[in-house]
Amino acid sequence: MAQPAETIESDVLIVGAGGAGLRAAIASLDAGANTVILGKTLAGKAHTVMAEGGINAALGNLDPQDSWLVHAKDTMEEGINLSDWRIVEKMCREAPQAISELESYGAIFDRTPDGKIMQRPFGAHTYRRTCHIGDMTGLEMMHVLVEQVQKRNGRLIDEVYLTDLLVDGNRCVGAVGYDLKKGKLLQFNARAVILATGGYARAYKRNSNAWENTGDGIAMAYHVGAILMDLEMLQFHPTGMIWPPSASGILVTESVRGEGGLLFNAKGERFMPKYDAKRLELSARDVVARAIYNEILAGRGTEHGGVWLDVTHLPAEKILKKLPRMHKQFLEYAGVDITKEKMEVAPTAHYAMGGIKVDPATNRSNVLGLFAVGEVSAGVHGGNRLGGNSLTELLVFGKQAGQAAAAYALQQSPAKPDAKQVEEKLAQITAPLERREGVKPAELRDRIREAMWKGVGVKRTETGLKQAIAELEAVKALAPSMKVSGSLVYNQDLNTAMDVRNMLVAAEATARAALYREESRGAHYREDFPETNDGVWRVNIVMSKGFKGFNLSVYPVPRPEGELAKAIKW
Amino acid sequence: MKVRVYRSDARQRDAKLIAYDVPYTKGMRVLTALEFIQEHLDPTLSFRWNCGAGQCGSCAAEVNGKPVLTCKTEIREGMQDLSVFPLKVFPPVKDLVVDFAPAQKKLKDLRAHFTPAREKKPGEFYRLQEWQVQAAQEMRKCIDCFICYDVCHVLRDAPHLNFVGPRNLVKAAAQEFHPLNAVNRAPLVEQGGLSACNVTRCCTESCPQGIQITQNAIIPFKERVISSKDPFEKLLKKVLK
Repeated sequence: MAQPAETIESDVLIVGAGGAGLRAAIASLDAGANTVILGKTLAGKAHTVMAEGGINAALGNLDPQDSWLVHAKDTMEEGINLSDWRIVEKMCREAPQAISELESYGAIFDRTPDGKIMQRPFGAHTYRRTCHIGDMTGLEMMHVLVEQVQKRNGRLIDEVYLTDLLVDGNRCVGAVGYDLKKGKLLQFNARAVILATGGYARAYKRNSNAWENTGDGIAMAYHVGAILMDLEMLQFHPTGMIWPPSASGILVTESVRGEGGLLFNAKGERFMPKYDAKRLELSARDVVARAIYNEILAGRGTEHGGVWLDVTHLPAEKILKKLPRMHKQFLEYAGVDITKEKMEVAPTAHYAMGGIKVDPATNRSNVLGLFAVGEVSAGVHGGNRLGGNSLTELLVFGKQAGQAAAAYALQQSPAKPDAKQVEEKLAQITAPLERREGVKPAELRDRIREAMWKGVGVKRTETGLKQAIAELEAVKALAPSMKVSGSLVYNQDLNTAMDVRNMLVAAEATARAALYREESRGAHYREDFPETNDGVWRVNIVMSKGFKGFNLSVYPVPRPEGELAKAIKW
Repeated sequence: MKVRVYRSDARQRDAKLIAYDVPYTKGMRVLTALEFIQEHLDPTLSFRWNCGAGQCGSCAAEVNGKPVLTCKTEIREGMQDLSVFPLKVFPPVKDLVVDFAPAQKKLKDLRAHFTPAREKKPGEFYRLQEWQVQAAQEMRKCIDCFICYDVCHVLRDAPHLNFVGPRNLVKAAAQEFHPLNAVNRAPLVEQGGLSACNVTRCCTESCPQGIQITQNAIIPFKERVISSKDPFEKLLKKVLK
């Protein structure tokens, strides 16, 4: 039987070393808890580095009228009334404090002429409130957070693939996984566990996400009985690269349209006036994504199945000054000089608004000792995420989760996971390596991604969703016979096998929730139910593990109270 | 197209170069070719990557002798014979995967984290001008790909000097140039073998982020080391005190 090569003890185990995990680690270390942080990739290279635009806080540096209340109102409205107002209020109230903290960690934001933090306009924000560091805000955040963890002597172990949580009754007491570089099975005993594993847009054929975003946290939490929420809400960014295939999905930032970029179909028609005569190219993300998708489906797409995004009418100097990273990206990846040529773009899967349901005041899940924070959790973004809000969420709730988990852990008795459970879970890692024959993990992965793209994409129908679920079930039936050759040392094929296990849970939950929600709202668009129906559907769809797969039910969205109640139409 | 890839385990037993036949498609990246090999020809091939968009710096390898980000490097028509090796200056883990731990360990001695003269009050914000922060911001573009580390001939040819390496100097500079920094890292970088660098600019020329490593990180540190030893400056400082 499979045995762990090493057992690592901690008070708080943090799974995921992106922005949320690192901020939680700082809070947990400051609270005096012995903290271990695990990253699926190298330290400092988590998906957060790809965040470009910035981080929202109502500092009012440029627009003094701005306040936490306007920020909260914008967030709730863009979330089409699915967000938890308590979480939104806390985030918007504490955002300025979080920025101040980040500054004290050494982050250097771009400045205004009078030396304050610069804030840029972003889609669907009433005021200019997105603080940024060029178009590399996430990278700078990751640098300073890693430095702070190291300064506090936090134990950050990178390149560990965590596969399962360990439970003692209804209490989470640790986890198991394997170290990629060393090729060793690992056991972690912890009094509290924080999941900060990010999203799962990798489950889609075309996506803007890094390799690691395969829904690991969602799957692990689901298996131990955590409640998932709003899984049908997956944001498609309207503009991702499509050509060449190796660049497919890479994000083309919203600022391209913000600076005056126009969209054309293959016939050379500017099509946005047909879909949103007022806001045109700068309409909401879901509207633009659907418009592009429509044009492609109607046969007005380009050779590679996209539309044209054009900035050639702008002066070349403006493009070079305002969109340097895009200019570089198209030159390096597509050989296209965007000052002279059009960009070929199409929607790309981008961000999971849904995830593990958490308590607004502590980020606890319904499983004792299990916390979740960041993209893996649900509640802030509801039906649609406002650009720049994800980084704010990471800092505000990373801190809250770290403090709450440390406080909880320090009151608990030491975790003593059951040895048999450990063996069972570890055996799931080694099983594909021991099989003589079976299916290729990459094949199953591609089938999931194809099925999700086709059936659970920008536009959904009952038939399409049912077909996707049938395909996912077929893949699920094959998953136990995946075969991997080689050893445990840096075996990417084995990683893919584990990814398939995790993606299956996140993908199926998404498809089932999407089938259940018979209306259109935010990122979720049903062709057979195109209207938003607040009377019936102002509810969060929640799911958990039952005896026969997913148990599904609905919770009414909490009605805003206090100052927010007055600001929001309900 | 032939792609020759270096294969080995951590102890480099049976290290060998294996040639794979990969169908060429226009616009293909080196990373795409490696993925093709892993998916269709040999699933046990190991290489690192994460974002695939040139932003995380995980996928560096030596392609035809030159370290590059494999996700960004297009295979052009003339490059039909391709060889891919790991970054040779680091201890190998498997195939193209190496261990960056030695470089990370050296960084610990440089106090590369923000250390201001005074702690700021909660909720307080700094007032800084754009011109004050530009030098530090350039250094913060670093994506830790370690390409500069791999091309550094001091690290390659004189490991006994225990040079901290260009990437670590960039990290130290990112802190040193913070307008509110209160730590003098000149003695630390000096102990880190700074004098061994003879400014051949190899690191600067290979940086995928275009950071002027030699000009804007290494030379300023060299100047700080020298001026800290200048007898006149010492005297001047004493007088001023």
